Amino acid sequence: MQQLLPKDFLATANIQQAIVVEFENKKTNFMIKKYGNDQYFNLKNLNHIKRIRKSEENPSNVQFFMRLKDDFNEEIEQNIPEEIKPYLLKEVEVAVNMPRTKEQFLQFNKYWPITYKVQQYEIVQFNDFEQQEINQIMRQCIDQAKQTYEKNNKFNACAIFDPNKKKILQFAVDETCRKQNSIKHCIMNIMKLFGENYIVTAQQKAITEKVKVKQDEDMNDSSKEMVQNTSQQEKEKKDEDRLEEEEEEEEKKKDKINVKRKSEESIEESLSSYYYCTGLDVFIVQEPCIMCSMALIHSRVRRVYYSLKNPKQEQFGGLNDDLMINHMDSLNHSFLVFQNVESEYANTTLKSNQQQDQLQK
Amino acid sequence: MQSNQLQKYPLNEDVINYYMKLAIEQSKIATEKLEVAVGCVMVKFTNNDQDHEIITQSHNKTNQYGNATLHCEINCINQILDKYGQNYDENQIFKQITLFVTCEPCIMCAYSLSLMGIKEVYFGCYNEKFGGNGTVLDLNTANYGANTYPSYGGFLEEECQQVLKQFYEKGNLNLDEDKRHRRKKKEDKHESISS
Repeated sequence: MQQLLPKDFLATANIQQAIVVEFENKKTNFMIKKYGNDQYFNLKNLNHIKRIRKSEENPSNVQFFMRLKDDFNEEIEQNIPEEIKPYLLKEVEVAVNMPRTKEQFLQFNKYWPITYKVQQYEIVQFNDFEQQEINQIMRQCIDQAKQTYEKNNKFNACAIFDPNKKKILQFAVDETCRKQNSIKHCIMNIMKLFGENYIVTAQQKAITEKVKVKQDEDMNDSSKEMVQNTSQQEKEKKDEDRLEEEEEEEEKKKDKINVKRKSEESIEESLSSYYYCTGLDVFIVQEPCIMCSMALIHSRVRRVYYSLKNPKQEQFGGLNDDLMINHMDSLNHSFLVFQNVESEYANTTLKSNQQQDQLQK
Repeated sequence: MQSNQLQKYPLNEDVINYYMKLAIEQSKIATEKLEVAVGCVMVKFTNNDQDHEIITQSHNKTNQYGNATLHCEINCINQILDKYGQNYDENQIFKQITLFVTCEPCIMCAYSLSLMGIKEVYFGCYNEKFGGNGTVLDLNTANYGANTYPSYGGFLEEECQQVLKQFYEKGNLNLDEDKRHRRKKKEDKHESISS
């Protein structure tokens, strides 16, 4: 098993020349207020770069980041405000690419100070127990994929797994009939099934809540009656048998209510408050195509584990080194991807299936 | 219309606007049902684009079914696939179908349309976050292992955007308070009265 990291994770510093202005420390506030968002001081998309730093040569001076040298032409040079003109323009080196890891940050920061946000895609390390668990779930998926392959579908199946409860919530298989153009891929199927179950359980929850409220009201009434009854009987203190009988009845009632409560709890546990697949992991035998990758983003999954890479003959995979839809900056969600999970087992079963196919032909 | 789209679209503008308005009606239905306000119409063009009939129309149903993938395009495709069953010849069906949608198809929908081999796509506003027809990825023209199709954008752009804006101003009311980006306004009632 191996975690798929974005390319810029391992990138070295991309150094470019930049133009900075040097002036006295006192004037910093004034300059930032007046020219902080001005067209002459243009950071463009380099939001991780800090605007100022202390001058290395002269500690009483401050250097103000103006713009990259590529971006600096004569027109801009001529139009520089007169307040800036008397100061020195200097060339410095800046690391332009965003730091993704702490090592990168420390390295890039040497050139010109930059900011570093801790990325949500950290490098995950599994212990043996977790590894085994993941492999087991993937094996179940592969077995499902084998079954669906025999029914003339693609060799693909997937599962939704709740990492907190250690429970598989849903299985689904591919239903494309081995046609290239059909959208009944296993991810689309699993989202459909999971959504249906979610809606059904949510409706059940609403019903049980109503019942619960009613029961509570009934309980209150009956308990009042009980209190009245018992007080009368205490006064009488004659018919002890009756008392015992009623106590038994009470216990029975309580038991019944307890059983009902327990069943309600179990239903509630199963539904909980899933919002699509937030916080859930998805296991899939073959790398999802672009459509399915985006479906996973829409569903806000936490992690994706897949076994075999997409061969790219029919459909493009969306979660490989080239495309990596899961780490696209413009999208509103990103998740971690792990590939080659139990890939040997998946490969051998797929190959044996294909051989059987050929024999039958 | 964006200036960078030099390619001339084959359909008559009146026809496009007629179907775009139908798509906008669908998106308005979606807002009434507290779904994300995107709607679409799939139209079959035959006889050299002279005859046209509506095959399906749909809007987003993500909240209704608790399924984030049920965008309007996916709903339409599913409806057509269900209608023709297992033995459909999708090349025959989708090669004649043109899609009119209020918002640029997202990456998922764009690739699904590419898989199905749709004829053409006309869309309203551009989708800067997940647009799959040129904004973020260009799945309709680049070779990603499936069919390519022409896609034209910017029809009735403002109207399409307005419906979406109206929806997002309220925020997604179907979500719980802690999952929403925008808090529910307590003064909503007063605002609606005053406006």
